[in-house]
Amino acid sequence: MDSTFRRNTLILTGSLAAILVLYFFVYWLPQRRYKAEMLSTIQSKREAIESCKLQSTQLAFLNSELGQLEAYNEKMAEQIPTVLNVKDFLSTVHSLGQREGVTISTVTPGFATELVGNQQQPVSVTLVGKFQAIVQLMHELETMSRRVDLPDLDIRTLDKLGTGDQLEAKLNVRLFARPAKTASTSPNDG
Amino acid sequence: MTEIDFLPAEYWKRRASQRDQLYLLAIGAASLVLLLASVVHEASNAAQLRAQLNILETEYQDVSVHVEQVKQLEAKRAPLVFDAKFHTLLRARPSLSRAMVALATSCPSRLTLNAIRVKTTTVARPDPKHSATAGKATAARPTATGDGLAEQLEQFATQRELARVAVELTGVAESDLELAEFMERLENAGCFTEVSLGTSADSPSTGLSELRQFKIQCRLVEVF
Repeated sequence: MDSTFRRNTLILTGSLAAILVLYFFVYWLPQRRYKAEMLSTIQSKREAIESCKLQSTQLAFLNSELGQLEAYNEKMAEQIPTVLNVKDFLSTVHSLGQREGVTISTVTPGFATELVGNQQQPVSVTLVGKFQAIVQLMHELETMSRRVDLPDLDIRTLDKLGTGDQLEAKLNVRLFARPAKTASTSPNDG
Repeated sequence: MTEIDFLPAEYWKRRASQRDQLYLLAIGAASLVLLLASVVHEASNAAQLRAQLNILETEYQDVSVHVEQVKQLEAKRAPLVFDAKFHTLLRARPSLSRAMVALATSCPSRLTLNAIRVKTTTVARPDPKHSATAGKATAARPTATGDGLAEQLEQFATQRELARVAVELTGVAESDLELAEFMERLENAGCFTEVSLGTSADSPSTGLSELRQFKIQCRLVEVF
């Protein structure tokens, strides 16, 4: 009887020990590793989500900025024609001159060059008239719907003594055009 | 009083052995139940973590859409910023007509201007470090964008930055007092800076010996 009991005890203890070892190595350790990996993945996912949320807060700001940029560019682009039409510019200057009482004595267009995907052309214009009229004409040129640049100006009296009120003004004007082909001068358009 | 046991000793031994075996079985069963409970606990923990991960994955997908939108908008923004910079540079010029009006209003009655010369000049960059960084910027952008437009824009920006609109005024005044007043008025007009007297001398022209012929140099204030 005693030997049977001892044998049974041994069998039970051995089985329990084997099950425990199997459980520990085959199930508990891999399960623990798997849980640790999952926790780490969860942590990194949470960080990624936080980072994404932070980035997505820019969405509203970017949308508004894009709207503003588009409106600004559209408004500015309206002031630059698609072709360098010197004739059209001259007729505008002549009509402005007639209105202000300024005579356009000479007009010398220069060579057109490229400027950041756009075209620019210098035009030298000589005006004769009173100071106020010339300044008014310059103001009209600066504020007209077409964008022009006035880099240089040379005003002098026609007579040597400077007693007369008629002045001669040599005005350098730069015209700009934005060719339709390169409607967007963006570097990313390829 | 004496207790008499009528059962044989073998019976009691067998009973004791059966009881011990039952104890062993109970211990074994209890151990297995504990083991099973541990397995269930571990599995439920893992399931909870998996569920949490799934929820996070879904959330990540949702926010990734927003991030994608942000990236698309940023890509769309780059050319717009480029265009806006060009337009801003094009606009960044002082108004000559406003400067002429300021000149006319600053001119004292006993002073006559004979010539006004406005010329745009480019000055050398004073700080070599600055030019080095600008050079790097121009060199870096085209490689990123793939064409020379960005480089041209940088050059245009540098050109605008270094441009100075110099004004040279020539005329005659009754005395140096008028001249000094004129210069002070120019400085206070808000359109001019660096007002300096080039020359002031008696007029050599016949009949104007009492007048002072002068030349004043100044610079138009940049309007950005």
